[in-house]
Parts: sequence; C-alpha cells; structure tokens
Amino acid sequence: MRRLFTFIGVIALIVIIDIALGASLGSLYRKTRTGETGGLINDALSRNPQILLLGSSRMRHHGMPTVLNRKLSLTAYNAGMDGQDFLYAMMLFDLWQRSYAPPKAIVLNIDSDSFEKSDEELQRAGIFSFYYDDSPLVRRILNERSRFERLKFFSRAYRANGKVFAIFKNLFSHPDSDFDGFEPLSGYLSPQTVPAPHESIPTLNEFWSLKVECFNQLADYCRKHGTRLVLVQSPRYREDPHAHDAWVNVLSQFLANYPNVEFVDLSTCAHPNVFRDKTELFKDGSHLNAHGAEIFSTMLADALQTNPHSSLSRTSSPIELSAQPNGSITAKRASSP
Amino acid sequence: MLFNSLSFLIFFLIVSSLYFALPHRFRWILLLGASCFFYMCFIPIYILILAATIAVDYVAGILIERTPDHARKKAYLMMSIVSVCAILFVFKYFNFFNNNLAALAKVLHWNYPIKTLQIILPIGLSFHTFQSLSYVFEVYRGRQPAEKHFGLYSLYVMYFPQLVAGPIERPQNLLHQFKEVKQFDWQRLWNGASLCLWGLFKKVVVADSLAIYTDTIYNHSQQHTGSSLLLATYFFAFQIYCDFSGYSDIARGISRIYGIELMKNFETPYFARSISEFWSRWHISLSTWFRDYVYIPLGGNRVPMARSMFNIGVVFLISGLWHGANWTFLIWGALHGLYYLVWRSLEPLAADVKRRIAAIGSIRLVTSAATVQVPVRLLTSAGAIEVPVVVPESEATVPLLTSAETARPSRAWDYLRDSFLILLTFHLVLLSWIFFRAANLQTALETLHKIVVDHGPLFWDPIIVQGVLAILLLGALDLFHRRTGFWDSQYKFPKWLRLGYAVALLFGIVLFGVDSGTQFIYFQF
Repeated sequence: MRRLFTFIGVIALIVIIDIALGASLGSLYRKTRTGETGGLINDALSRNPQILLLGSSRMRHHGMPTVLNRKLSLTAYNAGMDGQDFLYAMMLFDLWQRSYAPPKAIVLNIDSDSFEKSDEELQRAGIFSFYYDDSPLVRRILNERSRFERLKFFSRAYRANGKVFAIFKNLFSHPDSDFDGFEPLSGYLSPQTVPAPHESIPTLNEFWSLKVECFNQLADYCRKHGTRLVLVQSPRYREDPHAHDAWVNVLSQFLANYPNVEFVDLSTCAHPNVFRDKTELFKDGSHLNAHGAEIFSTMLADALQTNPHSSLSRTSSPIELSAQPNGSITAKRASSP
Repeated sequence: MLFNSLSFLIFFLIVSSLYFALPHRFRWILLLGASCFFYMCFIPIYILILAATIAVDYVAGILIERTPDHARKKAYLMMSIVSVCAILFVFKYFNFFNNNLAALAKVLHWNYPIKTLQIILPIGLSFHTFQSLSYVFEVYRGRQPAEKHFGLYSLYVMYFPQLVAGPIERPQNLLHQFKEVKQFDWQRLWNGASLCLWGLFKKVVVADSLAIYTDTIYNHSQQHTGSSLLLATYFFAFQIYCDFSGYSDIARGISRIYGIELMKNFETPYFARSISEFWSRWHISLSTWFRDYVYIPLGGNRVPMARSMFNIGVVFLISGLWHGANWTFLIWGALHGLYYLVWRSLEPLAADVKRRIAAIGSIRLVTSAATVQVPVRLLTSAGAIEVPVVVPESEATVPLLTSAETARPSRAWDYLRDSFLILLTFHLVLLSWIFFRAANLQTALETLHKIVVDHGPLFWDPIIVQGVLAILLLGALDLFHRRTGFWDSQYKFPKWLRLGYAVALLFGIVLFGVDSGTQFIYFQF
C-alpha cells in the first residue's frame, strides 16, 4: 500500500512540475517579440495593419510594407515566415482576427505546392503550440500531426518542446521600432547554383482537404467583412513555363468557386521582361534580394491599386517598370494590343 | 512501431500489465504474441522470413544434439548456416554483389542479364539472423542444450525488446530467463523505467538533435564547406552512439521490468584508449559474436602472427559488410581492421617506451651524496600508493628501477597519456564515421577532401548550441554512470536523488526532445 501511495505521489509531483513549467515558459514565451520559433508570431499579433501580408519566406523577403504604405497610403505588415507556408499563414490569421477589426486587404503568397499535403509543414506548425488553447483552428491543425497529439497536449510543458533555448534567447532581444516584418536579403545570385526547375503540379484532387478547409474559412471571413483577399505568386529565377501554365490553370479552376478572391501573378513567366535572367534581382533561386523585393512590392502595390477585382487573364499581362525621380520604381501594366 | 513513439508506450503498458497479471506458464505466449505483433507493425509479410529462420535453426539445434556423429553434426551446422545466410544474402547482399558484377561485366564487355531485385530489407534482419545462429553454434559446441520447446525458442529469437536492433543475445543468457518465475518488483520497475528514460533521452534529445544538423550537411554535402562537414562528422559520431546505445538502454530497461536481464551493449566507448578497447566497449554483443564465432574458429591468437593478423582483417571486413551492403561499410570495417593491426603491431614498442618513460618519471631528488630516494607507485586493491625507497646512488640505474611491475609514472602523466590516447582513438574512429555516414564512396572521399582543404565559413544553425550542450551533458552523465555503476546498483543512491534524476530526464525529453518519431539508425541493419 505504501508503494502505491508513493507511486501516486510521484505522478502528482510530475503533474505539478509539468503545469508549473508549462505556465512559466508560456508566460515567458508570450513576452518574446523576435525569433522564428514564435517571437515573430507574438509581434505580428501585436500589430493592427490595414494590409496584412502572409506566406512563406517568399513573402517575408519580397513584400515591403513601406512600399505599399507609400503607394497606397495604407499601413501594412509582413507576417511571412521562413520555413513556413500556408498552414502558418492560416493559423496566424485565425489568431490575429480574434483581436482586431478586419483588415482592408490580405495578401497571401501562393506557390504550386502551397495546397499540397506536407507532413513537414504540419510538423513545423508546432511553433503554434503555445496557442493550442486559443483557437480551434490551431488545435485542429496541431492535432493532425499525429494520432496522439491530443494526448501529448495534456502536458503543459510539451508546448515548450524545442523552444526553451529560443525563448530565453529571444527574451532579451527586441525588434527595431520601425520593424514591419520585412527582412531584406542582400547579395546576388550566381546562376550556376540554381538547379533546373522540376515542379510537379498538383491536380485539384491532390489539394489537401485540411488546407482547402482553412482556405474556405479565410475566404468566408473576407467575403463577410469586405476584406480583399489577394493571392500572389512570387517570381523564381528559373521557372518552367509549361509547369507555370499548368499551375495557373489548376488554380483558376480552384478559384472559380471563390469569386471574391483575386490572383496576382508576379512570377517570372508572367513578367519575363522584369525578372527573367536578372541575377541582380535575386539572392538565390527562390528569393529576391532587397532590390528585387522593391520591384516586386511596387508591382504588387500597383496591382492592388489598379486592379480591385482582377481576373487571372487580366493580371497576367506584362508590366513595364519606370524609375521615378525620387528613386522609387513604378510598375505599369502594358496596354493590350 | 518505434520505441520513441506513443503507440509503443501504449503497446508496452498493455503487454506489461498482462504480463504480470498472467500466471507464469502463459507469459511466454503473451511475449511471443506481442513480439509477432511488434514485428508485423513494420512489414507484416516479413514475419514469414523470421519464421523460416526460426524453424531451420530449431530443427538444426535438435538434430545437432541428437546425433553422436561429429561429421553429421557439422553437416547440420553447415545446413543451418547456409540456409539462414542465404536468406540474409538474398535480402541484403544480392543487389550489392549483382550491381558490382554487372559493372565489372560492363567493363569487360560481357553480357550480364541478371536484374536487380526490387525488395525491401526486412527490419533488423542481421540482428535476428545472428542471434539465431549463435544458438546453433552453442548447441554444436555443446555449451547449450537444444531447446525442445518451439515457442520458447521462437521467443528467444523474436523477443520484442531486442528483436530489431539487439543486443544480440546468447542462448545461455536469455533462454533460461524465460523459464524462471518472475514476480512483480517495484524496485525493478523503477530501475527499468529509469533506464528506459535515459535511453529515450539519448535518442530524442541528443541523437535526434544532432541528426538535424548532420542530415542537413551530409544530405547536401556538395553545398557545404569542409568546416561544416567536419562539425557534422563530430556530431554524427555522437548521434550514432546515442541513437544505438539509446535503443539498447531502452531494450534493457523494458526487459528489466519483466525481470529479464539483457547484456550491456555499450560501455562509454569514446573513452577508449585504443581501438581494441573501443571494440570491447562498442556494440559489445556484436564484437563478442564475431570473436566467439568467427575469430576464434579461424584460429584466434593461437596461430602465427601473420595468420592472426589475417584473421583480424577478415573479421573487420565481415563486420563492415554486416552493417550494410555498400562499399562505404566495407571501407569502414577495413579502416578499423587496419587501426587494430597497426595498434597491435605497435604494442611491444609502446610498452617499451612506456617502461622507459616511467623510469624517468620515477627518479626524484638525491637525498644525500650517497643515496637517492625513489618513489615507487604500487597498485593495491585499495588503490595506488606511493612508497619511498632509498637506494645507494650507485645502484639507482635506470634498468634496476624500471621494472614495469614496480615503477609507475605519476598520476599527472597517467592523465596526460590517457587523454592523448582517448583523443587519438576517438579521432581515428571519427575518420571511419565519414565512410559510415556518406551515401556512397565518392561522397565520402569528397567529404574527406573538403574537410582537409576547404575551411570556409561554418553553416550556422541554432541547433549547434543545443547539440554541443547535449554532448557535454552526455559525456558527464556517461562518466557518472560508469564510475558509480549507476544502472546496476541504483539502490545505493538516496531515493530523492533517483527520483530527481528520473524526473529531470523525463522533462528533458518533454522540453528538448525532437518530436518527429525518427527511426533508429541501426534498424536498417
């Protein structure tokens, strides 16, 4: 009997330590404002911009809120994140919209694999674990990670899994006062390091139901609140024109069910005169450098300004760039012949 | 079903509860059923391969024991070896040999029509094949009676804690334990569970953290500098140690809860002072298997030096091939064989140098014009003691004092020498890990070349910090366990310390463990 009581005592001790660890680390975590293991989520959730830029590293390093602000006179914040993609954007927005009024526009970076099933992406969604109790969508996505995820989340300390060092590191660093989420990349691309493109384009049937469900939720929200939802495709240094056409075709079929969703195609295939073979605009095969990002953001701002309800065919027309006396760049859509 | 998964935890809890609830006579059925289920969680149909191996060796064991004729015994033994090795060859080595023959035929412009087999390697095939073979060898040598109970023999080969990655047990150690009545014991439960936690800690906190960096670098070795590759190689050395020894500790811990002791497979191998010592501390169950069933039958140390060296070379080459059908593993084995042979041939020279240095280190100041005081260190059961001996100066010559039995160098010298030998041995092993980790021979050689010539910037990842801290912690804890015999005599330590240690390990796993359910490296062998 004494053994049994000892056993129960040990279990109780473990539970108490677990709760205490989870609560204290959770509280420290929410104070962080930098770092890719969660601090940037906290920073994004503390902002209330009129335009919210969401997506992967291809949004984080491409979308310049200052350019959008200058051209559209609207505040903007870039909540893109390295190593993340669609699910990150959906969870972040779901948490964000619980605290703030609807934004005027949401710009979501989309790639041909954004709607595909990805276990890696699901694993990386773990950076939201401290928000497990805050949103049903976050819970739903995190529970998809494994059969036993619900069981694991009984542990409060589990939410800090893999984040302890980062929490303590990020606790003592703060973002600059003018931080807007955009992270410029410096340097130029050396073309020989870029492999040949080999994109596999998913069919509509291969779109992951979880992601489609998340997207429905987002599109619904935007429709109800009059928020513009703009999907944007960023350029890559090397793109396969056939794959690009196939992808645009699949996406147009998908978006046929969402009349309020716009698509802005700023890929190299759609704008060869701007991006093709321009090593000076790229940092690597998938990312623009700061100069390229400025051009991209200018084109995006123009698309947002001039194209309130664009269709696929309209956005694919070529864009001409012109330098302004103040050093900025403006993009103008070429008139149709 | 992996040890580092919650599904295994649930499986284990169910099996353990039933194990202690059932009367002893039914327990083997439970363990055998659980082992079958465990194995079938990987590729169910492959249980037939395992069944074939078990059937062949079960029959062979009985036939060997029954027949008095030595020649027939040998024939049965050969039948068993050929049958189970044929299975191993088809699944593991056929494609390797076939591809190499095809390449050779191409060079010689021969027509070579045999195609590559499209099969997946059964998990842990080499482990259970070797375990099964050790039974036949022991029966043949008369050191183990043939097991008549087919269920118990099957359980010996299939026992789930060590089925897919060892330790490769001997029948003398394991079979009788299945027959002994085991009562539930809280002490054993605590001890076994703590050992499981330690194994899991090594796997998910150390090995899997290091694997993040190692895999990033080695999977794209062309894109990384020699500095990054060097760091990744250091990390891999600890990754593979923690991955494999972590598995062994979990296996031993689980088994200990059932009251069945499995052999120790690792003894702080990176603190070895020579390659021979390394092999007495690394994957002990495999190295002793090769010693007992390959090296000694080939003649062992009782043959001329040249023959003995040849035997050692053969053993290490087979050991390399055992790990995988790839030239990289063969080179890995060959390198270890080479180290071993060089070490062995230098041993007399080293002993001589040691003796001379010991003498120099032992002579101290002259106490008078006529005598010298010489401190002599004696090793006693109570430890080393230093005894001053005064001898006439005329007799204090080096040969007189350097008798290896009495004159010993100072403790500082011991540490210095041991540290140097540990570092040297570790780096020799490290070099061999490059071949073990690389995808193919070309990549291994390119990696080696880059490490030597390309000292570009290090690829930085925050996991490096966690990795380095984890390695330091591992080293400290490993030494603590070894010096105190912690896992074998936990009861000597106060309860609060044991409890605190286990809770710390548990929360270390929860907070720092890589939660991706990565497979154990040695499962592929």
